[in-house]
Amino acid sequence: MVNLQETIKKLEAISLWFTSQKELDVEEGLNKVKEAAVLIKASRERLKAVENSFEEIKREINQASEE
Amino acid sequence: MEEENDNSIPERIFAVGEYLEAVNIALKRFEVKITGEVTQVKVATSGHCYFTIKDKTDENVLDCIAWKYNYQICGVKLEEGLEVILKGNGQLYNATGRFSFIADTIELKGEGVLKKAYLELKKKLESEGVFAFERKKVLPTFPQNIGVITSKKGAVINDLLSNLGQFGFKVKMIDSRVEGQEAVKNLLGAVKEFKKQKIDVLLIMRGGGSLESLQAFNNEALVRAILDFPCPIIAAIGHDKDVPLLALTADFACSTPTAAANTLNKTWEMAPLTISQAERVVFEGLNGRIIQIEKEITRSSGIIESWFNDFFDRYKEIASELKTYVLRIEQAILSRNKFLDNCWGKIESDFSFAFKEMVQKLIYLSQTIKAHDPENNLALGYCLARKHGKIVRKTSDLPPNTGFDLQVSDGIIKTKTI
Repeated sequence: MVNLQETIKKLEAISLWFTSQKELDVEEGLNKVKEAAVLIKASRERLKAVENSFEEIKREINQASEE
Repeated sequence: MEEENDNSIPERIFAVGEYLEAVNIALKRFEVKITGEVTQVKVATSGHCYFTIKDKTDENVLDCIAWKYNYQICGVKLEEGLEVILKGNGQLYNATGRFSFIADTIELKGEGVLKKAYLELKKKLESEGVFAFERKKVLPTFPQNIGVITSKKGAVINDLLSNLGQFGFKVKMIDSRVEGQEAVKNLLGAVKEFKKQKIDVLLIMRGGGSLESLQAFNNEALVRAILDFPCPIIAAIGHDKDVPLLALTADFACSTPTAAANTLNKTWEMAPLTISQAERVVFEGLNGRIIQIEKEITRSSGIIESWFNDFFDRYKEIASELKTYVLRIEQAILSRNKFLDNCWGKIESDFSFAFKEMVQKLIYLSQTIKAHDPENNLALGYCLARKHGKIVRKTSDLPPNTGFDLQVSDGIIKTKTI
C-alpha cells in the first residue's frame, strides 16, 4: 500500500532536485520525471481510496446519529 | 337298656365295667336334692371338693363330690356342721366301685345361715372396694342396644317392655333361671354371652323374693363376673331388706323393671331439652365466633390497607428516583453525543483540510515536475539526439558516418553523420 506521506516526500525531493539543477541532466531528468509520474499516479489512486473510505465512514456515522 | 330291662337281665352276664356303666347311666337320670349336715371336708389340689354329709337325727352317711367348677361357683365354703342342700346324682367310681353323690349345686339351708354367709361375703367384697362408687360406670346417653338377662316366664320382662319408651330401643334377652342356687350357672352363661355382643347397657332383672330365693344374686362368682363387664350394668332385683350383692356391685340399681325402663328412657326424654340447650350453646358460640371473625377481618383489612399504602408510597418514591436517574442518563448520553459530534466535526474538518492540502501539494509537485520535463523543449523546436538510446552530448560522440536518432516533438528521425 502506498504511503502518501513518504510519496509526497519523494516527490518533494524530485521537485527539489529539478529546482536545484543549474544545468539539467536530461537523462537523469527524464528518469526523475518517469519516477515522479509513477508516484503521482499511485498517490492519486491512494488519495481516491482514502477519500472513498472517509466518505464511507462519514455516511455510517451520519446513519448512526439518525438512528 | 330300656328294651333289655327285666327280661334280658337273667340272660346277660355283665363285665364289671359294663355293669358300673349301666348303673351310672341309670343314676344320671335320677337327679335329686338331698339335705344333710357336712361332717368331713377335703379340697384336693385339683380343686375338687370331697365331703361327707349325714342326717342330723341318725348316722346315715353319704360321700359326696363337688367338681372344681361347681364348687367354685356355688358360693358356699363347706365346713363341718353346715347344713346344706345338694342337687345332683349318684355315681359309682369304676376303679373302686365306691358310691358317691356328685353335687352339681350346693346351697346353704336355713335363713340364719344364709344371712350370715350374705353378711360375710358383703363385708369381704366391700373391703375389696367392689361396691365403690368410683369404679361404677356412667350410664350411656341415648342407649339403644339393651341386653336383658331374666326369666322369660316371669312378669318382669313384660313390665320392662311395656314401660320402655318409643325411642328405637333394640332389646335382646337371654332367658335364665333366677331362682335359687341353680340359677347361678344360667346367669354366668348369659353374662359371658353378652360380653361378646355389642350392647350399650345390660339389665339383670328378677322380681322380689326372700334371701333364700335370691341366693343366686348373692353368689360371689357372679358378682366377680360382672365386675369387668365392658358396658354399664343395671340391676333391677326386687328385695326386702338385704340388697342383693349383685345389685350393690352393678353400676346402677333399682328394685323394679319399671324403674329400670324409666332410667333407660330418661336421656331420650330429656333429648329435646338437651338439643335445645345445645342449639343455644352452638348458636351463641357461633354468633360470638362470627363477631370475633368480623373484628379480625376489620383489623386485618386495616393492616392490609396500611401495608398497601406503604407499598404504593414506596413504589412512588422508587419510581420518582428512577425517573431522576433516567433523566440523568439521558442528559449524559446527549452530552456524550454532542461531544462525539464535536469531535467528529473537528476530525472531518481537519481531515478535509489535510486532504485538500495534500491534493494541492500533489498538484503543485506534479506541475513543478512536469515543468522541468526535458521533453517540454521539443515543442519549441529542440531535439534530442540519441545514439543507441544514450543522449549525444558532444560532436565526438558522433564520428563521421555514424547512425543516430533525433527525437522531435512528434516523433523520431533516424539519420547519420556525413
